[in-house]
Amino acid sequence: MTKRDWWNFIKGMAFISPWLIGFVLFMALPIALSFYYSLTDYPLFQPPVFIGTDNYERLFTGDALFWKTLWNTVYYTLLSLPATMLISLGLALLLNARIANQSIYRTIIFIPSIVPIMASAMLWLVLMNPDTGVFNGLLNLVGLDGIGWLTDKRWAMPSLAFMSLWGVGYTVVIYLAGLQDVPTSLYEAAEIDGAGVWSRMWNVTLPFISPVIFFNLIMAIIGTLQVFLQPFVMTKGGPDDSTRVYTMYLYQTAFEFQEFGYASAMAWVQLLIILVLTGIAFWSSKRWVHYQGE
Amino acid sequence: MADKRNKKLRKPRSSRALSRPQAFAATAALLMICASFSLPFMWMFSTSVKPKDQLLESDPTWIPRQWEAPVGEDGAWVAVEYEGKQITSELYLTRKEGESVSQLLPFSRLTEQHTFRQKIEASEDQPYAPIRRKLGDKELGDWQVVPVDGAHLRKSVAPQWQNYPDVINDENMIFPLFARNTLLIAVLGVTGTLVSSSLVAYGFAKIDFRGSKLLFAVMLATMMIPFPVIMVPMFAIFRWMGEHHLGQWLGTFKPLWVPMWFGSAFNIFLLRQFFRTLPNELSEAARIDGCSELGIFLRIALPLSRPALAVVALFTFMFIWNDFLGPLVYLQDQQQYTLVLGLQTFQSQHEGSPYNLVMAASVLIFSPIIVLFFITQKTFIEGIATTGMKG
Repeated sequence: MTKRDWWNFIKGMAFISPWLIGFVLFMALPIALSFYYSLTDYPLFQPPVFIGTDNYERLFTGDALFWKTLWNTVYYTLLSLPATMLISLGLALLLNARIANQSIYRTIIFIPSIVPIMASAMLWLVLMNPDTGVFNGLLNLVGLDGIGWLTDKRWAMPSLAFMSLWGVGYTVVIYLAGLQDVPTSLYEAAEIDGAGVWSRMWNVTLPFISPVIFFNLIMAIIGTLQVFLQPFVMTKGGPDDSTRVYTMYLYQTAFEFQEFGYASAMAWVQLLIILVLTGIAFWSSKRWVHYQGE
Repeated sequence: MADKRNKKLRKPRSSRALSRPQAFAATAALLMICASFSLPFMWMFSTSVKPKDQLLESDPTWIPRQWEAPVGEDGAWVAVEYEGKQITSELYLTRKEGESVSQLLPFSRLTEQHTFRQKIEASEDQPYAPIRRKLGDKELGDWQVVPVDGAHLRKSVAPQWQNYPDVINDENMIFPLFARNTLLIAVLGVTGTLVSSSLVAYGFAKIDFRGSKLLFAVMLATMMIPFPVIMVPMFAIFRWMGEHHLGQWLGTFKPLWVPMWFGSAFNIFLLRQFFRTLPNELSEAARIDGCSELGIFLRIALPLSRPALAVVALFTFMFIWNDFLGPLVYLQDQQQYTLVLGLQTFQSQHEGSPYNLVMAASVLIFSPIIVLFFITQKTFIEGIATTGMKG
């Protein structure tokens, strides 16, 4: 390295040093410790004892609740993620149409996404109350029987996924920004070639905004797989463990049962699942994400 | 893709204007969607000003209402119907101003009668007086006030604004204290994030040094780390520190704000995208004038980046305001609770019974966010739009 390179290196390192120090202290160290703990028996008030891969064996072979909560999280993701992705894209397309008062519609659709999750959890508890809630009131109004939104184990998880749709506004705004970058000239060219609405959508709009779809997909995967607050607060994992999600079981293992070693093993399994899924998304992105200028 | 700073959501623009039927269909769809998106808000607000009695009605109504009994010369007659269950409530008549006049009908031991009628003495000279139920520990929703012998009970519109001061002064939901705690963490956290993230972002954006690409990639990858992986060992570390007299962190605000002084990946990314759009000519000129890198950062880059810094401040504030898992894990004493944690405790202590107060608290917790949103709407939306841009 030349002297100038060295000088730049020192300057650069100095500027990023807060993050570097934070990375070591609040990321690398805990991650390493977490991995070590996952190989130990660590009841919070006694020192950790090394037990090899026992925790992982117990997870995969001896813990029905692990599989149950893992499935619950997957189930929630399957219900919520595709619906959120599709509906937010659909809404963005609608909000991008040339009609009057769009800024009002946009604001109304966006605002629910900034309600503190705790407040919206409280609100939806009230909305979904089987006896006094407005949802069952509306169902009764059209002659249907009310359902146990959060109290019936068949409905509890779909209800939580349904609730997540209320908060799509944030994703909608990101899509909308992507849609507005599509050059009008592309549409004009497509139109001259005789492309219809669907063809333009499929061949112009979607490829052009594919990086934005990809970004939203990655964020959704990471966020949805860590869902915690809504089931923790609204259903406490019930009824009958039907909404006990993975992060909730992990939290309880660590802070209620105080099995830090076991909880760390669970955290590592969660980390690996997220890494594998985002890895798959990145790998598949080569086929369907088109960056401009490539 | 080229960097786009100041992403604006422009006027709607699609390939061509919609035909009239299309525009009509799109408008109709949007109106219906907007109605359903606003419905929860209306319910939240309406519930927050409902009288307690109304919460138990199994036929949900939107308008806060309450029963009123006609007050004649010899008082008011009301009857109560219920279905054979133990009633632990009391019925009483109130003056319009909200003060109770006479507390009557304490039928806590009645289990078999189906109708119970009683004359309520009302000294106040008013044609109708509101009837309230004082709810005991166990609430029963299946009894109701009914008219007696041609007495015309009526329901009047009665928003209970008092619910708001009530929840603020509730001894379990120590609103002013929780708000102070949240704001303290927010001020420390937002300041730390601004200082540290902007420094780091400048380093990544404007200084070409060996390893910067790799480190930047590592930093982005940390966004994928789920919080539990960090939370469990951090708790163990803080506990260990406390035991070995290396500083008490558990049960203090420190775990919630100190890490924010070391930059956060998302905000560094956001600011770096912004810094990269600043022209290099300015900093070159300053460098020739003998300005140090830190000087360029402080005197040129930062002042030009106010919009981006505002976005970071806004997002960080909202993150802290909404955070639940962090306070849940690290805070121990109720005196230190944040608003969100306090609300959850309040709700679970009462098993959700005073919906109206829980809703009033939710409205209060949401209100600063919505005010911030309307003040900073443009910055806010542009900030979100920028997050979706590839670097």
